[in-house]
Amino acid sequence: MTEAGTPSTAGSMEALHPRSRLVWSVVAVLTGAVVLVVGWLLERFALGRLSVDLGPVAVPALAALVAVLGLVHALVRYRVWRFELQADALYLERGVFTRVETAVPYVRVQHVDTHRGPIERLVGLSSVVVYTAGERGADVTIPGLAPERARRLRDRLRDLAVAAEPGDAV
Amino acid sequence: MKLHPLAAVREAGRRALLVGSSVLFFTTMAATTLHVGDVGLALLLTPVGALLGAVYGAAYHLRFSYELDGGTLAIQSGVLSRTDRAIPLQRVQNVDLRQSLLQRLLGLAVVRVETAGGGQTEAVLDFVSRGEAERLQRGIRSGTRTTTEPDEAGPAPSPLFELGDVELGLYALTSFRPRSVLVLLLAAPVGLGAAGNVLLQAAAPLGGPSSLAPSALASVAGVVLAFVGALLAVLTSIALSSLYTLVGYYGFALTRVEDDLVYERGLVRRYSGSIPLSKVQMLTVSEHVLARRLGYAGLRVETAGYSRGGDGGRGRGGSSRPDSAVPLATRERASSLARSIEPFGPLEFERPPKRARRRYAARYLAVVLLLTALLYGVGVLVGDLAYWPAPLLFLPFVPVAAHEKWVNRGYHVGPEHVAVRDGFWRRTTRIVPYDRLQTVDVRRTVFQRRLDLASLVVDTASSGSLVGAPAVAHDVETGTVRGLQGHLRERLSVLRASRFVPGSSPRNA
Repeated sequence: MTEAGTPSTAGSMEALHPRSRLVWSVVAVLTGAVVLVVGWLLERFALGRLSVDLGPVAVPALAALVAVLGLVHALVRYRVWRFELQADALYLERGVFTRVETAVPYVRVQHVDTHRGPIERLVGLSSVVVYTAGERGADVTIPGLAPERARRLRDRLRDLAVAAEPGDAV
Repeated sequence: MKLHPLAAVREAGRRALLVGSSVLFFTTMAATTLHVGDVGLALLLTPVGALLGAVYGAAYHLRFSYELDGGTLAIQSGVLSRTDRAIPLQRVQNVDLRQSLLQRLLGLAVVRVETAGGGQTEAVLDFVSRGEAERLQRGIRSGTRTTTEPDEAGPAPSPLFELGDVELGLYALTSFRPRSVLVLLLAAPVGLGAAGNVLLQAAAPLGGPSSLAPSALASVAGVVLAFVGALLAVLTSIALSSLYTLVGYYGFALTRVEDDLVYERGLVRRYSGSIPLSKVQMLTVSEHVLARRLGYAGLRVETAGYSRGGDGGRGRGGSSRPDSAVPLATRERASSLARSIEPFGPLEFERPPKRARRRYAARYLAVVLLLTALLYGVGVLVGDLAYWPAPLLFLPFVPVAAHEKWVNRGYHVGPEHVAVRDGFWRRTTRIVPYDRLQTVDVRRTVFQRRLDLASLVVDTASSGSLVGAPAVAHDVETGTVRGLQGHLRERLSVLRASRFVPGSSPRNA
């Protein structure tokens, strides 16, 4: 990270709100619960007929595994997620398996949203969604921000986009 | 302005048929299965439905109007819910004309207008007279231009490029249309018995089975049959695909009209479209392995128009995939045309480091071994599967394939453009001008991180769909990729800053 034009120093970059771990953990536990229910239904109604017996542990164990992996994923994901408003672009680092470092030049920002999903609203968090005219990955989401921070970030991005250029960003 | 009067007849007829046939269907269903009403009632209601459909179709035509003036294309449409749409001409990316065989005979054409963004074609005028269509195309194009020279319909300029017979043949052979597989899949159940017999006969001399019974398939004969079947399927779809391409691209000609490239093609249905040169996002040079050996290449110009519908073509009027600027030409011709559109220098590609090649070999080896293990596993479960080691026959190809993949990958950083290249079967080179960049990503998968490799993903506002993937430089040293990302960002901000000084834009030069 020493090359010119990439002033990214992971230390100074902003992390997400710590509570976003809670959101992703809830999702992980819910996924585990869905596995448990679906597995139980399968065992009860389908596998019984086929006289396949998985034993009493298999389904809860699988559900627990899914939940635990989900939790680990959530924690790692939180630890990796970083963003920063740099001189010319919004810069993001994210991804557990595939690490992605995205630069969104301000001249390319079409519009900026703040967005709150149901779980986010429960725990009092908000997301910022940045739209570009790009075809793939045309929208970039920064999840898990305090609502006040999200609003400020959105307004700042809007101002930066306007200051960058009044053109059509294509 | 109104659409052509014949469009009213077509629209009324189409809606009458649609409503009439569904009324017939549902009343007959009701009469026979639910015992509501009887067949007499169904026969009575059907013409009423058809009449209602016809009236609606006629009303749709009467309520549809368009106007081209003052730098705007305005369209008013809808019978029950009304839509007034205004399209600023500066925002128009492409204007296409299409003519089916019947429309050609009657001198009619469908006009399609695309702007950037939006999930679908922004305006479809289905249909107007040929002369009116050309007037619209000219008018929209002259409104799209930033310079305001008078648009004179002078003598038609001579084509930049015309597709020769040899090129058309080779293009048909080497271009693949997903549509042909669809046709094959749809036709297969109909001719299943016949196809089975053909398959058995074709496989017989090579030691194929005598019948399609499961017992006969679990031996080496089964493998032979599978191979022959796959070969036949591939050959048939290539033949269908070639035919489709031959008909579609017959008489292809590319002309430069002011700041646009205009092409025309088609034997039965005629297509004509325009590519605005001021809105080029990316150039794509594609070389099928066969065409590459013979020294031919194709060129596509990606603009920000066209919806993401892909080749299938959602909505009325069919496909919305961007067309090639040059389906196929000798490599020199294609590259000189490409340079006349975007003046880029010679491309010298930097290959990925050698350890990337090792990674490809390991990947292919894993696939071969996994397949073998899978067949072995199936053999254990089902009983005897004598040919489980068959995938091992591919082992000698593993290093070759890995080398070819490695050799064809690369990136090039020029003074005005960045270029990336990838693919063995169809090698594609994507050339992106710096001031067309959108987002720039550095991506590192788990495997890449282990080898300290990364991929550079350069997104533009181009057309997307199946072939218009973002430009990706695969498997480059992580440090280099980060440096490239910084370089691209810097170039973009420098270019965009200089663009606002009037007259200094590199694009209007």
